[in-house]
Amino acid sequence: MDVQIQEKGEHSIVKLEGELTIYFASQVLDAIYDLLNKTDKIAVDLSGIIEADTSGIQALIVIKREAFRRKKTIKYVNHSEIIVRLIDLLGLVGLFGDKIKIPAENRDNYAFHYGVKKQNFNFSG
Amino acid sequence: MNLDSVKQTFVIESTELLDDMESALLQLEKEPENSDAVNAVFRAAHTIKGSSGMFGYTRVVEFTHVLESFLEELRQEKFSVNSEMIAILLSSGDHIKYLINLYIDSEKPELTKEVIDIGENLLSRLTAQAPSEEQSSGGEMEPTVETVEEVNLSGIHVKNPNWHISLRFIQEILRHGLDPISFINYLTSLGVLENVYTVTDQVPDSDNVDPEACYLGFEISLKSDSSREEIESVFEFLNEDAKIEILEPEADIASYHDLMSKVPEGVERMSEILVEMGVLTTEEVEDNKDKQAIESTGDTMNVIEPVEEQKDAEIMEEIAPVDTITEPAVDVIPGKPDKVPETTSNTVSETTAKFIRIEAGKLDDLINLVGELVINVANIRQLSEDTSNKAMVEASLTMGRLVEEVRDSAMNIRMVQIGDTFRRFERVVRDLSKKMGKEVNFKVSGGDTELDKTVVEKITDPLMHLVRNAVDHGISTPEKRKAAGKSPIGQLQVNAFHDTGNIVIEIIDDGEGLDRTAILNKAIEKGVVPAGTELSDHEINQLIFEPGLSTAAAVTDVSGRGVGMDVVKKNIESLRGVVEVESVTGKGTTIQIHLPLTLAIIDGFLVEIGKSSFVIPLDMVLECITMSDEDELEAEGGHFVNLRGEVLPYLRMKEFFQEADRDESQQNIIVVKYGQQKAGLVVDKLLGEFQTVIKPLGRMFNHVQGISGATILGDGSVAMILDIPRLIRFAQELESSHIVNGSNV
Repeated sequence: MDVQIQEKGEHSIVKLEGELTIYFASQVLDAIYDLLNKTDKIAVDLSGIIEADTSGIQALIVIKREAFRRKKTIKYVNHSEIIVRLIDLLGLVGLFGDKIKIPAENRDNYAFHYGVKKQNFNFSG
Repeated sequence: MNLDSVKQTFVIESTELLDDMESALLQLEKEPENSDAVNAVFRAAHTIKGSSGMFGYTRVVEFTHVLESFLEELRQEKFSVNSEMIAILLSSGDHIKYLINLYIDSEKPELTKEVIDIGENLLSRLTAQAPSEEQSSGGEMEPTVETVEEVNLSGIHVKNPNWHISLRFIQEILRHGLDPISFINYLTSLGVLENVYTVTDQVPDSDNVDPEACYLGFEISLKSDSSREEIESVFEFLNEDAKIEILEPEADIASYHDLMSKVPEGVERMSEILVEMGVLTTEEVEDNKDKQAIESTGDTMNVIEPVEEQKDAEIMEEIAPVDTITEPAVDVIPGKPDKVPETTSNTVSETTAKFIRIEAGKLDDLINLVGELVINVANIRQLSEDTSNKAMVEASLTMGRLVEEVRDSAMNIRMVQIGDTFRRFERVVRDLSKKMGKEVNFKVSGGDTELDKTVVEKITDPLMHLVRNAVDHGISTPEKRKAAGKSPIGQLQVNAFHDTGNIVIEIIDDGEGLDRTAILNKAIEKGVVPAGTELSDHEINQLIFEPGLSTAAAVTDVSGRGVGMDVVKKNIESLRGVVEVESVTGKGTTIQIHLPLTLAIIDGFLVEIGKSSFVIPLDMVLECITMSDEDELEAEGGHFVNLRGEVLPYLRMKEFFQEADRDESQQNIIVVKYGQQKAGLVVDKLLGEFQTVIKPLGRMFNHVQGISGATILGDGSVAMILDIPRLIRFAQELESSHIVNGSNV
């Protein structure tokens, strides 16, 4: 897993490349936590993610929630195909709330008709 | 999934359910208002009916269906319970057990007219007890899997036309190499995922997040024509890593409620999620809340956890021989009675989650290994002491202490409470006393006392025998008791408690007591004791355990207690236990059983006799004294010494085992005690404390007297473990024979 961090104006851009899996989840979490201490606005580029599992998706959820808690902004951008597929499969569109770009010809491959309602992070747990 | 093994699980489960039902019924008899007990009985019947339906055990379903309808009315308090009902329900439980065994024995059992009649008779008696409207009598319904699923508590079905699957995982699942997403992905091959809701409530604060742990849960709405089995098979490999609930399309609202109450998010939050997913409508949730308020026990047969089932099934396959259908495995949390693991039903109390059901054989292996470890550590300690390297000695001592702790925890795992065994007696006492027209108040104390699983299993039958005897012969009819100036209700108490490394179990009745004259006469007649022998009361009491007196006719009915007492004693002695009886004529009898805490490892006392080493169980050693020449002189003509004014019989071990003599200027007497008896054992050399792993002796040593087992010493040599109870008896016989001889001369 390759993590590159770029400063672009008031944004920090994190580019993740490789497998977003249990083997690298901890690395990703550490890097982004670290960044959360420094920056208010972060964009995470997911275009380089070629594989993901439950642990990886969970890491994305944890990061979003942590940003929400600290009143900072994290956006996931440039979703790779696998990420879009998993977000679709697990109904996480509403939870993440990011814009997802899908080429028109692929649109039928995804459901996206569920989970669109805003699912909020629940802090009771 | 192996169907046979599933059936085995079913047998175990239903046996346990029937046991629960029985104890609930007995409780209900005492407290007719106890609604918990009614619910427990209902649940047992309901669950058995459901499971039987899955296997196509039609007769069981037919029978339990009527039973269930009756119980349902009882539950709704349409009428109150009476003792006649309890009696019929108890018999019904027995009948169900019988039916299940029939089905297990053969796939299509021959249901004879007798069997059917017994059932019908019970049912008609039962329905006659229900004063209200007519009941459907068994045999009319066509029981299939479908009916089982239809038969339900509320009868209100949700509109949701899709399967609903709820997944929660243990946190370690990812580390186990399983990826929940892949299972959800696979579901798409069975149908269309209408909706998936990822439940993130359990994700902890970011500081506490372990990225390799799984905190997510999933609620899945699946549109599919697949069968339950097909859906279950998707999750087959999840084993115990997940909690999986599968609700069929248009499931009963109660099953949804059940789901809500099971998930960690709670009913409120779960209702939200389900409504948001479109699985339930707001009205359905509200209705359910109302219903909840009225009826507190919602249980259904809809929730199935195939994975647990399989786990159990595997255990079953490995160990259960055909004839032992109950309790093949040990529950490893000590201090709790055995519990039903969650399988085809959800009617299990919450404590279940804290238990792991494991194969008894694995525990035995562990104990064995720990045993080897103990031996090895003794060896290491010996070697390190030889090197006189201080640090080394210290390290080996620490290691020894740790191994000792490991040993204790390993032994502890095998410990189970004896309370469950005691509970079984309740029914026996009840039935027997009813049959004999006696009134018995049965009390139990110390049910939480823990004993080795093996000991508990082996002691159950002897105890049962003693309890039956107490009711049968000990306590007499209310009339006779009144005539004797006693309360018409007999008292029978079973106690269990710890006593210096032993467990003591007492069975106390306030019945007639032993008729010592009759026993003595019979003993003399049978040639067990020579005529004219003077015996103390205590000695006469113990005669009831002699094989010669083991027929019912041996003693009069009043004093009784002849049947199979020798077998009882033999069983107890095979556990290295001892049994004693105290009795006051007309006042009652107390039987005391002393049992060792455990069978496998003991603290021993190592001694040398001749050139061989022997081990004496340390908890039986009272003291060690030097044997003086005067003692020997005094003992001339009799094998006893004067121990501070007390007569102590002794045994010269060297002579007893015919060990080669060796020049030993000083001899020692080890005073040992077992039960109430004491004796001295004369040995050559005292070597001190020694952790002893008991290895059983082969069958060829069966006839060797005075030895109960063997152990391996640190240096690899073998030491015999002395059979103290038997040696004490030898010593006493020797002493009394000398006295008898002495007086004759």
